[in-house]
Amino acid sequence: MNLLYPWAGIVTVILLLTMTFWHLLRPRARTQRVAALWLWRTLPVEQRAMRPWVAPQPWWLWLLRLAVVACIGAAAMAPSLPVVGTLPPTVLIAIDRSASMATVVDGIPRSQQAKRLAHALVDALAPESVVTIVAFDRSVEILASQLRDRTLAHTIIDGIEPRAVAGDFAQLQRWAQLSASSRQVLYVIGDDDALFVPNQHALWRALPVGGNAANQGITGVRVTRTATDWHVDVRIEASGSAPSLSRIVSASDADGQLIEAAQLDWMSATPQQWQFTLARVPSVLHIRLEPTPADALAFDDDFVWQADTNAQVLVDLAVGDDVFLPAALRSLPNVTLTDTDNTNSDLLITDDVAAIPTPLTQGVWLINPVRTNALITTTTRIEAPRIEPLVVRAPTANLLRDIDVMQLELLRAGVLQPAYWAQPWLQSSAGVHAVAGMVDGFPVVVSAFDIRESNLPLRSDFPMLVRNIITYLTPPMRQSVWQTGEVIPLATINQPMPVLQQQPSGGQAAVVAVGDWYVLRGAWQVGAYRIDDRWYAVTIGDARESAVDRPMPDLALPAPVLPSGVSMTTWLGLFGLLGLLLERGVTWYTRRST
Amino acid sequence: MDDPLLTASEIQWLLRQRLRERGQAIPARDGGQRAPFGRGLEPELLRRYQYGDDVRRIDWAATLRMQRPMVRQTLPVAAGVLRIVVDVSPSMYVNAAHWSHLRRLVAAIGVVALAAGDRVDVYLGSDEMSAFVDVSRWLNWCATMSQQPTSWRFPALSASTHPMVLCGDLLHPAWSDVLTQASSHTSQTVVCHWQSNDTVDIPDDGEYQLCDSETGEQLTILLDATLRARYQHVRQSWYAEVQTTCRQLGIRYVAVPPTTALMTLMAEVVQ
Repeated sequence: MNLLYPWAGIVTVILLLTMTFWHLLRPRARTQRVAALWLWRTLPVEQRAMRPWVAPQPWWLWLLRLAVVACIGAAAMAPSLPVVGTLPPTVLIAIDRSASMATVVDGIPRSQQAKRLAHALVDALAPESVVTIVAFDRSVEILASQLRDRTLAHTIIDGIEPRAVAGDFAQLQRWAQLSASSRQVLYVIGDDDALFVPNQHALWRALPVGGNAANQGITGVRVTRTATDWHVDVRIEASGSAPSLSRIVSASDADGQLIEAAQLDWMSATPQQWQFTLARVPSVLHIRLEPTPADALAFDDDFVWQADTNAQVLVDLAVGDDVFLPAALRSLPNVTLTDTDNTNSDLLITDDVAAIPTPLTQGVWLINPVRTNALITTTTRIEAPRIEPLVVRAPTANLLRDIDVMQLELLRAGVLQPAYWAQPWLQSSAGVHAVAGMVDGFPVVVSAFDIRESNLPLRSDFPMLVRNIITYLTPPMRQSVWQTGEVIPLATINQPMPVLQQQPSGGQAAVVAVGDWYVLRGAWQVGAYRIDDRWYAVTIGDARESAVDRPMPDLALPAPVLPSGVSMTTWLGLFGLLGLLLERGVTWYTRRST
Repeated sequence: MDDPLLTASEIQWLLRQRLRERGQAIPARDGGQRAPFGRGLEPELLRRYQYGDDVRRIDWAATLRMQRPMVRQTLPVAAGVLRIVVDVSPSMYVNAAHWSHLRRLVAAIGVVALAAGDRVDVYLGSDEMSAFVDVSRWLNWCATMSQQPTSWRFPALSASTHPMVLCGDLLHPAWSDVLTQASSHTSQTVVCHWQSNDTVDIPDDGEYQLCDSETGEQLTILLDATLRARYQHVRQSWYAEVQTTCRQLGIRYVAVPPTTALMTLMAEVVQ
């Protein structure tokens, strides 16, 4: 029996106890003024007891009053008897246990919501009914067949947990086609994708749980700068109950120019990595994930990454009296010259006056080494070498980007003996005059000529050469230290990616930074969403969207599926009123006859 | 303006009535003649024997009847006076409607006497007497008549042949003494016994604390149908005892239930 207002029962009990107490309490004698007492004194008057209580005597009118109050109080509690037998004798309950069921919606995982619905269904079964419990994701597993034991059914339902695989309703459909008869009712409890399943075989009843959260999306983007280029790793996750998932992921620049694109297919909820390499990193990298034309499921997820154009490079310059090089360095954006022997500098520019520190702790640009040192072997020096074109291979090709080598004139240059690590990037008929390569993991550039003994400082591409060398020598940016679930301190970010760092719940949120590293989605199915030109952040590790208000479906079973019961309020209230009328009539008749 | 104590039609009806007990009627009945033997025919008063009385005046028949020595006293003939003694004790005022009914009865009796040319002497709770010969003054006085807060006692009256009407409930343990006193002052006494049933009117059963209106005494009872019936029986027995005593004393007894109409009561009084 279900009680809609249990507190009315408490009130009723208190009222009944009060009535009983009142009945047992001896009433106070009423004062009546009479003409004389001496006639009364001739009568044998019953002596009044001193105790305030009277002996309980069964008085049927009092019992009737108690019954009236009990009936009215019971009616106020709105009791209802569960209706059994309305469900068909054989019921199939299919519970989605795909990865999307682990999603927490409004604080309740979808799997828990599904279990609550399943428990309610089992409780509503007729005594003679049998239930078959099925869990499905990519496949269908029959957990219990033709089960009569309700306790065991509840236990089996409690044991269903979401798994890290995608769901496939086609499998459930096939299973239902083979196993379920047309007289059976199949209750499918899952997230919204279940609604897409056509009603073909057994009598389907879709009981959706959870919100309409997207089950796919970009969950992380990592941009790694190496010595020669940029590597972009995009992590894309998919889940849900779709039989298959196909997405096109693309990267474009700020102007919408397509840079890379690929098609990704999922057959499970395993996250996929999409990697591509960029020779030049655009100022804005727009990564978009969109459905294929054959995929009918709506999807909207994209991601914008903006390059860091303000990264500062600390240069330790130790080249003596050269005035052209410092001027060129200062003309470059984001380059800061530091004091000599600054161990925190990103690179060292030296002319081999001092000893080169070994092992290397930073990138080195060695200018005009006059003798063999720890890095390079100098064989001889020649006068006015005539520069020859050189096929330069990556990654040193970028050193001469935008530089016209054939117009370069050198007064005097040394001839280098290329080491195993060195790749020449400037040579003449006499030999190699400049090399570049990685030594102990650090980039090294050697130019065996004095800048002042060339026409470089007078050329317009001199700052560009310096920029190329600086770019080459700048150490790769640090690997992402951000982990999923970690709170990222963010600077103030302007358009197009505003960041909400404070959620209504008070937790910290982080989405994307316009800095080194970007994106980190806190957990499953969360991240940055743009809805109506507003960006919504995610709470790292909380797996709930912060500002997206999604309606929570009512967990109560709809009336056609499960009647709540027969209300007894009307009958109890009627009995109470009839009893009240009877009590009033008896009281009136008693006084009248007296 | 308050309603008049008696309506015009009631007064008109009362003016045509005659009391049986009238001062003039007594001498007219025997005319002061003397019998050939024994006592004469002058008006006499039958009263209890007192010390100093002539033993020859003992009425042996009355003594045998009353079980106490009774003597006969010759009264002077006095015509045209009706004495009305009203019990104004608090017990008469327990019910305001009953008290108003009593005043109407007293006023009606006075009107009948005044209409016959008699004088009306009224005694309330003391020995003081108020005399009336005019109907209008009499009615005004009756309209303002009020009860006494203290216990009532029978006034000290001189023995005479004037008829006397006693109106009261006699709800006192010494009620028989009151009747004896009433009978000892005149030979023509009428008792209008006020039979109030206020206690029986208590509708609900339960525990009650009864309070005596005159003495203030209290008595706790558990009233139910049985006790109510017992009290009714006791009261009826007492009424019968009062009536018997009045007959023994030569007093005419008129029961006055408070719900009886005034005309009905007066028809019984003047018959």
